[in-house]
Amino acid sequence: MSRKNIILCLWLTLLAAGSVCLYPEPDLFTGSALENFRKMVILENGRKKPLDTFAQNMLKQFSGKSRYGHEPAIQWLARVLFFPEKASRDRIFLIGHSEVLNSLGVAVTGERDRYSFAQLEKSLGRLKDLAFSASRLEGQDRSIVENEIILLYNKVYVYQELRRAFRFAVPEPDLSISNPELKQWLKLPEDREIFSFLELMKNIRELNRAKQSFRKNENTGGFPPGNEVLKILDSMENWLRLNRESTFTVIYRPENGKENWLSPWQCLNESFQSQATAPDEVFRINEFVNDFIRGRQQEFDQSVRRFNDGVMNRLKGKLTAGRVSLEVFYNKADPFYRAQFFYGFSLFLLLISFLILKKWFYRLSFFLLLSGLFLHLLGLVCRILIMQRPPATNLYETFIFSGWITVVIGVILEWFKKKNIGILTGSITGIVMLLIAGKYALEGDTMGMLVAVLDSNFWLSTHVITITVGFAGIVISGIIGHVYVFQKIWIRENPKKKNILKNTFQSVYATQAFGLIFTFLGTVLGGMWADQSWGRFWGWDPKENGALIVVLWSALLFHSRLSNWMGENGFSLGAIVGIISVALSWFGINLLGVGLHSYGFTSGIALALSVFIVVEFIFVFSMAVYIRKKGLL
Amino acid sequence: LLSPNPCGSDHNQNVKKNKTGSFIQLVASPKLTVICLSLLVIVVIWGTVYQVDHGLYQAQQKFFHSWFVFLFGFIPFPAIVLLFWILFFNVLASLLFRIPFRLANIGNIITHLGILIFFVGGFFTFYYSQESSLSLREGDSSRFSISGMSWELAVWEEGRGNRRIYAVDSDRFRPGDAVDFETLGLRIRIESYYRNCAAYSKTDAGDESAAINASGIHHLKVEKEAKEPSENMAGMLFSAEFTGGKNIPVLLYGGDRQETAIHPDGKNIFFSLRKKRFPLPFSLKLIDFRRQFYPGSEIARSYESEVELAVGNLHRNIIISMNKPLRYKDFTLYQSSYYIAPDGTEFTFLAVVRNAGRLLPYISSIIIFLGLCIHFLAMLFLNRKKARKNRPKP
Repeated sequence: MSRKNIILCLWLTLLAAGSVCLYPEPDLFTGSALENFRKMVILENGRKKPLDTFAQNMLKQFSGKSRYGHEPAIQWLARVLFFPEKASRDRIFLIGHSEVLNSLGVAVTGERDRYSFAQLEKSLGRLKDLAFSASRLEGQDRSIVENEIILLYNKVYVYQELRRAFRFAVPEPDLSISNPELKQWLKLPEDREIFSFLELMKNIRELNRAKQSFRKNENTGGFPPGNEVLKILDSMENWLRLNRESTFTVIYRPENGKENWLSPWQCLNESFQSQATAPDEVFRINEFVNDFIRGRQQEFDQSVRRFNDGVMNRLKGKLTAGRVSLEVFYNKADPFYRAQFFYGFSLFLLLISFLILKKWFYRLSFFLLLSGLFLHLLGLVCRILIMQRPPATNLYETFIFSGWITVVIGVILEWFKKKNIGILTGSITGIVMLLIAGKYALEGDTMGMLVAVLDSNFWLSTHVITITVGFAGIVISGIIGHVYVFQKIWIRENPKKKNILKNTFQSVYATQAFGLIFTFLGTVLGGMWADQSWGRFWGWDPKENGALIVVLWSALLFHSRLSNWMGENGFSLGAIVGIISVALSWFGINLLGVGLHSYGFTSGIALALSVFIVVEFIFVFSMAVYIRKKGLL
Repeated sequence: LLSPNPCGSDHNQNVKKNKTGSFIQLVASPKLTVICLSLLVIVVIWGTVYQVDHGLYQAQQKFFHSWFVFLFGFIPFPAIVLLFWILFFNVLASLLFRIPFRLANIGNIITHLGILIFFVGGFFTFYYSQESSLSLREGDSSRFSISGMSWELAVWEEGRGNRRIYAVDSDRFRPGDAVDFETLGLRIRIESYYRNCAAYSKTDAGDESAAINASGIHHLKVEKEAKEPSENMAGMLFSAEFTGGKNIPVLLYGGDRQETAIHPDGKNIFFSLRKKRFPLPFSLKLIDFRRQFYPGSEIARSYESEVELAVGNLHRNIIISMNKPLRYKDFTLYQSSYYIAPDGTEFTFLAVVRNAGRLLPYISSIIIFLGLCIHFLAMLFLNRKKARKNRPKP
């Protein structure tokens, strides 16, 4: 490729990637009214994250998707928080078994469908009873339906908590005062009868004093009207009982130098108990809730910004605004999702190039692969900057990262060989790895905190990265192995065939060697890490054995070739089996559910894995028989 | 990119048949490597799947720390130790007799040399390393660590100045075995030894035994070994024979509440069946145990034990945390677990490993990696050179 072409390709890549990333999204309010709301910091599972990520995690948990239709998750969350009644019609609860709905008495709309809170609302009592009885059973005694009932109950519980998270700022019918004198005494507006929890909290001391004097002089009548005061306080206590465990922790109040996050309701509960004034943050939230409800976009945006600034000032470098903004950008850009499309188009155009306008479609295809690679890299860099650690801490990340490596290997192969193999294998593995990663992304926050033993940037960046690179090499080798077998069988005999096959085989061989080196290095680095943290280099733990099998299999291939027991065909078919060894090591081992490496436990993937293995074995076996029978050796 | 042509075929021909016998040819053969690697793959998969039902320890004993694994209980199948020894000689013979010493082969030679050192390190660890654990309460100190799975029979006499304890490994005791403690004038003859058993008092079992036990145990019943070896509770029945001709039957149980004492001829002889103890060349005191969680969650961020290491008069404070063990000579101590009692008392559990060959895997891994890289690059370079040479000239 000439220098001019390279520059052109790079320029087009940047342009395409940039335009895709910065493409604006529609908002609930027009313009960027939710921009600051997205950046509001919340503590969830030990990590401080923007509300935008929290919204996506919640939606993923409920519905298995990170958007609600065409709406971004934050818009859906805003509706739940500010207009819960409207939000209750959103069909977000994914229910996989109609039996669950039958047992709740809800009309079934499909075998696997999404339902709204309004549809489930009438059956909540029944759901609670069923979930409690199911949870009394031992894990292994529960059926899938019983597990799903427990899951649904948990989802609905969390959802209800979210609905009530900001209700302290909104007038509620059970917090009504009709006596005008009492309203005057409590300095409440006289033209209303219904008040918000926070409005009443402003006068908590007066209310309590009234309660005490009423208790002392019971049945004497007079002012303030004791019965009404007691009724109000009772209602307030009910609200607190219901919400004091709220996990919507957006208020940062450090305590003795320790990080401490509270939800508005927790703050209100503390103030109620100590009869103190509620903290400023609660009033700020009250402000923006009311701005939102009244449709005052600009004011809402400013109030949220003031709230965010307050939190950031108090965090003092524990989390920077830059990192929050970056995470919001990362969420919006969704680089991995978009990279998949680039890889897909790249593959599509490559196939077209076999039919017409070979040169042009080939170039376009290569350029799209590079664009995808750039976006993929952008995503990885974002993750590194946000989490301040290497991008290989969970199964999701290992697929993202190794996907990127496979595409890089594809690009390198293409750059040097220009025989389509690089684009073909790079795009296929890129798509497949990102698709698998996408499945793992649905399990919740992909940037979870690390348990103590994994919290070591040095070992994460050496062991996990190298082994992932190694696995990527073995996978690419296996994919090229497929190409070799197809070429062997389908290309008609002609003088060029030998050369084509030789070329492809060289790629199988080189990538296998590359994979072996890095898998070996990754495995022994894993041993060293284990030696550092558990006191033994090797313990025959399933995860260790998984990596060992990949190394052994790859070494076996090279030695079989050396001993003339395997020719090019055998080696290529063996490379395909190498993918199976990687797949088993990657997630098959986690399915066994034993050993110290329990951080990557996956569920529901066993079937897909088994199908994949069976199909690959059938392919390898039938191709071996076919090649031998047709005398293509 | 790389030359996929099997250079081994030339090598095979290069083996100097007149100098080396067919046996060496066989041992150095890459075919033997392929067979061993295939068997290794099978054993590793088998042993991994076996762990699901039988736990890691039993799988280790059956597949990974043994010479043979028996199919259907009687058909021997080579297990890891045997395969590793064969591979060791295979690599050694390949280096000596098969792989030609050429500059182009330097990476290959280095790799196989590294693999040899790797095996040596593995054998060293397998045959000589020692694993135990140390549990400490805040404020307590200890001079020994305790094995998680091995048991010992400890015998001592009270009332003659300093107490001198004699301890014998008991894991391999067989009925009829005898152990002499000459200074005590005592011979112990084993009647039965159970690696895992349950203990019954007189009322539980019904049948009465004449054997002495201080905890009131009269009967032991053998049980299947537990998945986790630390959960096994050993037990034994033996007769203590004194030089005077007196025989006293004794029953010991791993879970005895107190040591059993007998009093022949006015002596006070004590017996205890306990987890094997390893003396440490230092004493360790737990000053403080600390743990941290991520805010608002139950996800552990870190655990650490602040300990005081004392060797003679030298005392120093050290922090042992996850990924940061304490190393002292060939001992390494790791933070492995902790317990906080309901009254708030903190306990730390440290894993203690003694392995003189600890560095060998590190050294060999680096050598193998370097060898592989050199070989990879050399092949790349040679192949490109060859390709350039073969390119038709205009």
